Amino acid sequence: MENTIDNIERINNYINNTLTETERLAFEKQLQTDDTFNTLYTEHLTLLEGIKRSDLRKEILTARKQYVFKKWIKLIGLPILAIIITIICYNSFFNLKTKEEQNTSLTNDIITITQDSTNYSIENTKHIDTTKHYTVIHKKDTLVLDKEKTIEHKIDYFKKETLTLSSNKLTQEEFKQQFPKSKHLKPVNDSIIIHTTIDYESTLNDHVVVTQSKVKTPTNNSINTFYNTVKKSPQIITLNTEKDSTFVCKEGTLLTIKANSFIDSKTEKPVGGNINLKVTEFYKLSDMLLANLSTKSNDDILETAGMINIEAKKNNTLLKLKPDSPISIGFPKQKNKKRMQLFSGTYNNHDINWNVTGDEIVEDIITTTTVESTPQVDFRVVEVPPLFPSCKTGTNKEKKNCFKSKIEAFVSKNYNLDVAKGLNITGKQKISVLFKIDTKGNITSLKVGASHKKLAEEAIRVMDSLPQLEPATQRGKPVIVPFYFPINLTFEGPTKKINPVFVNGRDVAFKNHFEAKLTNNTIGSIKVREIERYMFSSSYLGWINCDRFTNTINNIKYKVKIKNADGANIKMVFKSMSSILPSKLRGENHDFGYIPKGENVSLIGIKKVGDKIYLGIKETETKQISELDLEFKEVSIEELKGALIDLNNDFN
Amino acid sequence: MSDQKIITLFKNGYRDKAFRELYKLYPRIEKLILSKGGTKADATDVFQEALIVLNRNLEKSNFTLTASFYTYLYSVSRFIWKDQQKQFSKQELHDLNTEDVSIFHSVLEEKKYQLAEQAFHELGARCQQLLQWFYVKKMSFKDIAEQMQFKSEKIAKNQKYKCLQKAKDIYRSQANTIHS
Repeated sequence: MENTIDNIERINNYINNTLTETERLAFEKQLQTDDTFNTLYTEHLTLLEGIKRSDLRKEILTARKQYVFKKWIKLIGLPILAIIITIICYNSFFNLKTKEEQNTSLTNDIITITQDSTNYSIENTKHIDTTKHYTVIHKKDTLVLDKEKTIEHKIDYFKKETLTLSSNKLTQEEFKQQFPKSKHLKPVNDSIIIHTTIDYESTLNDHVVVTQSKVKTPTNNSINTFYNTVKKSPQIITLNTEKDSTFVCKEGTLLTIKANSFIDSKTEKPVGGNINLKVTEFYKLSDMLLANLSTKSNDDILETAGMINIEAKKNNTLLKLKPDSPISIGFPKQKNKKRMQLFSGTYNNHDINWNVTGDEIVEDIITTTTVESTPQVDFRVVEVPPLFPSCKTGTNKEKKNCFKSKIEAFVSKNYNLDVAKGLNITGKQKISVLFKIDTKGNITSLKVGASHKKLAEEAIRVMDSLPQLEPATQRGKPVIVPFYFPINLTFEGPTKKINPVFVNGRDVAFKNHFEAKLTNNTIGSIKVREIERYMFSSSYLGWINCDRFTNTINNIKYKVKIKNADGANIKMVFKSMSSILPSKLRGENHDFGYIPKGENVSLIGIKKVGDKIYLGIKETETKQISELDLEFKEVSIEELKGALIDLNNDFN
Repeated sequence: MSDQKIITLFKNGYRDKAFRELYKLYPRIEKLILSKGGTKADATDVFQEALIVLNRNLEKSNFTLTASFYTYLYSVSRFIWKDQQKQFSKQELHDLNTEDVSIFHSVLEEKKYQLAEQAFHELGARCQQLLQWFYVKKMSFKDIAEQMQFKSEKIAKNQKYKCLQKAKDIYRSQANTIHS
């Protein structure tokens, strides 16, 4: 056997070419002469090839796998690519087509306009063909505010303008049917022009309304810049659109957004990744007033339960919601008011107007503060244990030991044995202390078992006075860690076996939460907000209002002349309901529209003259009056905010 | 990729890439085997075997590829399949040209190594590992002893000898049963 081992080693060396020249020659000679050696050699070679084959086969197999994988990619990937390309092509083609359509319709317009201008004078001509289509243009004289003159004379001036109401291709017959009053008109060349003059006097007022809202007076401009400076800054929330997300905003608005709900507002393409959500909440009167918000839906007065403004952006591109993925919005309830509806607001330079979105109230749900389920990790296996204040150095194992010993030392040092006096406690006593260290480092679920209630209660007292701990972490995230340790006490006398009594400690987390609630209650009504919300789903972003229509009777037109109110923004706030009404300046009067009579209201005027801000607040009762004195005081921005915040309490 | 490039891949030790390239020829070989009554699994085996034969020949210094890889692999695959099916008639064998003879020879030679491989696979996992490390990866006994936790190099060496001997015994008995 030794011999064969030797021979094999020689063969190996021969194959690896490590033999000396003489050895090699001897080896080759032996191969020729020694038959057994020769068979040994060839057999060895064959076997080696066999071993190599096994290796080679593995290599070929991986090559095959890669080949098959590539093939599948081609099989699946190429058709998908083809489909995508087709979709893109189709879309761009479709867009092109619609553009073309637009273009053609545009040229049509131009044609009619030119015809209309060339054929302004009416002439009677030729014969009339009943089958021929004529371009019928319907024109109407209207009044349009003359901005320059209005500013110049401070009285609304209007100039006459002719508007084209419609233009159609009609036959003579159709024309007579549609415009029976204008039957007498005869076509000129290829067109018929109907020119309606309207009664100025009766329509004058209407036009005042339409046009005035478009007018910006210079004083209004400065008040607008003022509003921009005091407007509440939004809360910015970054969220991943690929996941469902729910969050509660600063003032309690609950937003639930499903995954992949956002699309680019222009291209309508879905948007992925992180986006920024700007949310501004308006629940307080002061916030609403400072944002120049009011609660009117056209001419109706609304009562609000809060407004929010949501804006979604990704890298400065405005986003909107996919039509079929509404977001759910929960407005915290301050008072339970029925018939709440969702309104969406359009905010122009003047006042905001709210329109019903038609999104029904989902339900009045009760949401309780959800405790996130955090993983609980055993103390023995947790990566970084909870930290006792003086145990922050060393390895994790050292920290664990330190934690154990410090806790035990703390308890035995502070445990007052006097509690046991007069309880007839004898012998060895074991007090079991069980608790959890939560993710904030608080002691929770504290449970102490002892032979006597007093002993357990003293342990709880000591545990309550523990210094603040740092939470344990597993893979960098705080986790809950349960912990147990015994306190061994020895008293005089024999040891008796008594079944332990368990006493629960009060959770610190609960205590903190409770305390926080109590303190909050003194300022607002967070408690109610926390549990109840008006839930809506909205397919719009932007200005959203949770409102209801007010049923007001005894309405009167409230239009007053307010002294010194030139250029001021005057709003009316009701005491009995959460409504803010804007006013419109009509000549010298501030017009609030129709409002209920006999209501206690505050008139709040803000004006800006130069760099100075003036605030005027007047409490009054609504009745038909013609003049009102509003005293304006100069205020700083801070004073203004303070004064408005003072009004919040009445507004609910 | 041209055949020349594949050969350079082989020569520069990028065997895996070369095999991946050659697998592009597989569908045509598969067709051949399917047309001769084989299954897809047969085709995979045959092609794999053909690649091994090709690789072995490329490793020989005196081998030059006279035709394209496709033609070569096609002939080899055809021979392997025919041999497996024992379809060779005497006349056919007689009519082979020199090119074919060398291919046929390679195929027959490969069968010997197949047997050796089978014998190798009958060994225990530890034996297989040891032999592979020593002969394929060219690891030293010292490293092997360390990796496989043998107390000394000598034990590793002895163990290797035993494994090899066992493989040889298996190989011999297999070869005998086939010949007899």
